[in-house]
Amino acid sequence: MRFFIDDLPVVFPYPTVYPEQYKYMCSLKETLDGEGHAILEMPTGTGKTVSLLSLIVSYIREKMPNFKLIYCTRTVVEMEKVLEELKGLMDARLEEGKDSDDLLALCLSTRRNLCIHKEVKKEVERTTVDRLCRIKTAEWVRNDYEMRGGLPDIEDIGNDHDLCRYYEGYMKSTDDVLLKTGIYTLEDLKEFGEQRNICPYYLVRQYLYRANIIVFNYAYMIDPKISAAVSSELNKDCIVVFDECHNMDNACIEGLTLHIDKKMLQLAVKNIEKLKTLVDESKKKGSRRLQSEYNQLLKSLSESSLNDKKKIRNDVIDFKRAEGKTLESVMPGNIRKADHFLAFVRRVVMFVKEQLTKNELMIIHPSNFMFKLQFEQYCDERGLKFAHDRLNSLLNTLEIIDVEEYSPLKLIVDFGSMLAEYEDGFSIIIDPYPEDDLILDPKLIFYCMDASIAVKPLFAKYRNVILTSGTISPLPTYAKLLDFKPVIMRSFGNTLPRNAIYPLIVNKGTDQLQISSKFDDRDDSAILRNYGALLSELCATVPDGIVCFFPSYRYMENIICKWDDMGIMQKILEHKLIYVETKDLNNSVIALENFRKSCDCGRGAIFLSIARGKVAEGVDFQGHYGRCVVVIGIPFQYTLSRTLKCRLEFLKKKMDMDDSDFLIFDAMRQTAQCMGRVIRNKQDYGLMVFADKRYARKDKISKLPQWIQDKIEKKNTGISTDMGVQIAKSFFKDMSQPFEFPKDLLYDNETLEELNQKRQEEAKPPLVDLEGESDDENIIKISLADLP
Amino acid sequence: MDSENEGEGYAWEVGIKKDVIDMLTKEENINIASDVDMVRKFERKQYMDKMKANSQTKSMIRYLSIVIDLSSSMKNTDMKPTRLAVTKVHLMKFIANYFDQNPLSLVSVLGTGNGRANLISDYFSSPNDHCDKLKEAEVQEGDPSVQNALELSMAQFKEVPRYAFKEVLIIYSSMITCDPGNVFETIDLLKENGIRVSIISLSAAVFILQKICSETSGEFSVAKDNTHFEELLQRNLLPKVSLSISEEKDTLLVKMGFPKKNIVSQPVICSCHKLLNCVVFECPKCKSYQCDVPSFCKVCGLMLASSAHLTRTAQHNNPVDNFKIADDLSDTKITFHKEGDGDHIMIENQEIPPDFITCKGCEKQCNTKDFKYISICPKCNSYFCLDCDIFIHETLLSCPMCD
Repeated sequence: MRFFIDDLPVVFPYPTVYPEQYKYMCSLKETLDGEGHAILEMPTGTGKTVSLLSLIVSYIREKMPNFKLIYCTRTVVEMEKVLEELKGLMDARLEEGKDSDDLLALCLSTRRNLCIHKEVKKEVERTTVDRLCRIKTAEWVRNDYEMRGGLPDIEDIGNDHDLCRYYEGYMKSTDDVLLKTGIYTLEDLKEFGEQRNICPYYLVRQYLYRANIIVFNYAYMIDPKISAAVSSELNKDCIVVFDECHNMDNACIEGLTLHIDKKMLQLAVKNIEKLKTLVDESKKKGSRRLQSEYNQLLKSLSESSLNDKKKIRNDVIDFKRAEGKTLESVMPGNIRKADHFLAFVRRVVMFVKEQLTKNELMIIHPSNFMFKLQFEQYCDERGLKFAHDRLNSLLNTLEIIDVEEYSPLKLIVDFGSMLAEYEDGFSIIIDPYPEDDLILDPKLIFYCMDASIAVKPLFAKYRNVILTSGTISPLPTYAKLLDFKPVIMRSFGNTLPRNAIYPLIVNKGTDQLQISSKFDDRDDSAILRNYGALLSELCATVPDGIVCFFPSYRYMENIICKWDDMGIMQKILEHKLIYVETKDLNNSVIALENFRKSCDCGRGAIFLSIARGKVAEGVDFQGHYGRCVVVIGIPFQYTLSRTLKCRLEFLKKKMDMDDSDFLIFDAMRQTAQCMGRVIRNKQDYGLMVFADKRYARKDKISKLPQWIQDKIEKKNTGISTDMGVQIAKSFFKDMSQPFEFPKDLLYDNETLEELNQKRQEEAKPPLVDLEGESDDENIIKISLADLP
Repeated sequence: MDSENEGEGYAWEVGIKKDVIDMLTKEENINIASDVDMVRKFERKQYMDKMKANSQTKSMIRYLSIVIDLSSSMKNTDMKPTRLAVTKVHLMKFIANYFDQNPLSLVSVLGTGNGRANLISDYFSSPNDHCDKLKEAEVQEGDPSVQNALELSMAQFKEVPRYAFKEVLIIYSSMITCDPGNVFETIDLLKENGIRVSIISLSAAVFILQKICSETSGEFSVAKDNTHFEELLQRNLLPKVSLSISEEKDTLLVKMGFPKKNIVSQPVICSCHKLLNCVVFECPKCKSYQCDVPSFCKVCGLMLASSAHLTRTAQHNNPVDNFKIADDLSDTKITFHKEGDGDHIMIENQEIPPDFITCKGCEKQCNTKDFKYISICPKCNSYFCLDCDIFIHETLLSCPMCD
């Protein structure tokens, strides 16, 4: 269908629009009309993605044909979903005659997801695939072939050949317009690659800059280690969308945080020794390579420009981008020679090693650390800054194929480079007992406390950045954490004709004893028993699937053991099969699969998982897989963690945010995220049980997304287990009645037209003031009087 | 009770209160007590009309197996006194009505519990036999098994003649099913054999139950309370559109005997129940005595029926047209006259709404303000109240004013 928002024709792939979708699109349009950024919250299962795509594509096609849409998702599955929606949208646009099909939409993922090499793609580990790919496509291997009489014919390159036929196909392809138009999902790209004998990964990398719509993981935008290689060449005419970005601040921090432990240091030392022997060998052979490298470094790094295709190969890390400063690109003298450089790095490694032997907890400001490093080891800042590039250059020169082997050394060098680059918003934590108070395993954490560092350049560079998610409340907190000023900040409700979302705050057991996951009460068997009773009674009441979230692994393990002793697990088993999330991802995937099977065949199942685990983040429990979600306790972060303490201190100092404010905010967004797992579309319904007495307090409830808050009824806060079960019973009976979304709540073409007219009337400034109006009347009167 | 929950009231009030509040917010009606009732009846009429809308051939001879969940969840007291007791009462009523409406059709009753399914009464029992056996059914330990119940009823259907229409009605109370194998294979088998499965759940919508119903084009419903449960059962009284299986489309000959009714002065022993009877029916084939029709001759197995039964069954294939709601009709009249000249509209408009309309069926005075609850027969334009409308369509099967 097609309708107008102001003067913009919007094509929507479905015949009707939900009211909140319309409002969402209006807000989006307002954002795009000017420069600036927005935070928009819309409940899960309301068609956020399709609204976003419809409006932005319409807008780009109508008003800004040169603009790109960069859509950042969190997982590969979400990426595929976006592209599917986009396909539907483009079909609709073609049908409406609004578009010629000259749009190119691409998605980018890791080599693991895109590789089509018969042998390599069998690997499961991302790093292994990367390594094998690099080996098969290494420049010097290819050069060798060229020297020895040309590269072999593509057809002759088998699977066990030391070259990759698809990469060769890619290098040989001279055709400039291989990918012209269309929407390519990962599968489409692979198919295309197979047909043409071209590596899809490199193909996408090359065509990224021509695509109108790019869909990829948001690490490509915010993680400085990879963003530079991918997105730095995108120009500023982009609309960047971050979907499901409620955890963006953590992702930003993770991208800039480094962990170094003793094992890493030892490996790094080995790396250095190995490199040294290689350098020596190379010297003995009288190879000119080192010399020529040296000469080149003398000139400048940037002039050693590789051609476009090769540049893509080298995942050059560019820390300069993040700070937005341009540095003089000449390599400093003390690390130009390979021997000097290795000695330099060794000094850094030794210094870090020494720091780790001190066996006491230290939190050091980066500048202090830098000063010490300079003072004790004579490692200057400039040298460190370039260490990263220098190492890459050396590895290239020595024609080292297996780069992964040198990752420990790389880590140390990265640390050096970042140390030289950043000061504020970071701190160095040296913790001798990071895991447990008893296990000595000293660790150095280069910790980024300021989430805005990674995203600031994005906000500065791109015209519009849109952050959106189902649970991104309270909105101002996000703006504060990421340090930007959004022009539009809105939260939308969920139009539901029936009470499909039903939050209950259970704060006491049947015996009227208050329940809580408070640290002091963790071993209180009465509370554990009450939690168990709540869960087992819910299991008897709720059909099909239940998801239950615990604050931490330790708590879950403890409670499951206790429940087993009390016979509660047995009771639960009568009604539901039990699946548990584990730290091992593969195990959890298998558990999830079987959980779904049990729900399908009518045995019913309950999934016990962690509020901060993988399941809470990315797995949907739509329809009957999640009829009820229980959050046991409030998922606060581990408050004794050093990193968290540092961050809290930083937030207090820099952003004037109270400790408890942030902790509650963080816990509640996690809770909301868990709750949002079960409502995935308009037909869906689910019971949300908040099982902790502390949820009933105002400061907790007020931090939940508006669409959940709206549904919390006064009478449902602070109830006991037995009442909760009664309510659940009648809830599921009500929800089981046949339901059809009432047509009059949907917007069809006519209503949308009316709404648009209303919008335009409101938007128009009053044209004539009151006096003028009366004048007009006078004129009419006069003319009427004159008539006879 | 806590002070904060004072407004909640008692549990048994909740349902009624909700209906009332719904109604008050919808429109300003005054007579609340009768309105709750009316709203329900109106919903029933709407459902009935929807079902009638497709006038395809209905199945004439039905074989219905009723499966009752006998697991411990039937002890649940949310229906007073227990779910099982309520189910038994309603089912007995249902079986009696079923034979009234479908004289040539048959019923068997199965129970499931403890992971197994067992037969309670078979197809050849009379309504009274069914009821007697049903009364004895007791709750078993363990979980029920949908798959076993379906397999058992399928095994029963194997001996059923081809022309018969096979249905399963499951009354389910538990939240889970404990199956020995893959239920989805059973669903495929059901589909192949053209068996329709309808399920009434007493607790909540369970995915697999919904799936079974939607795959076999049956109906899944959840009973809100006692009266709703009864209504849902009633929906299965009238025959539904037969599932099309290619081979069933051929015309099939059904062997049937019309017995002679003998009133004898000296009681004779009937072959079916071995009881003395003065009024017996004589099988035209083997001359043995039966005490009731329709039935199967115990001696030669011939189906015995009377012509009245045949007519009644055939009647389902030419149902009464759906009655219209009164406001629909006033609309059509106005538009009709608009095509003529303008003056007529005024006159017609004034004529239509008098304050009360007399129902042609029961002579009840219906307030025209509640025009929603007044129906009009599209053929003879007679007015009927909602009760008569339902009666005509569900039981009488013909409009008394038309004929």
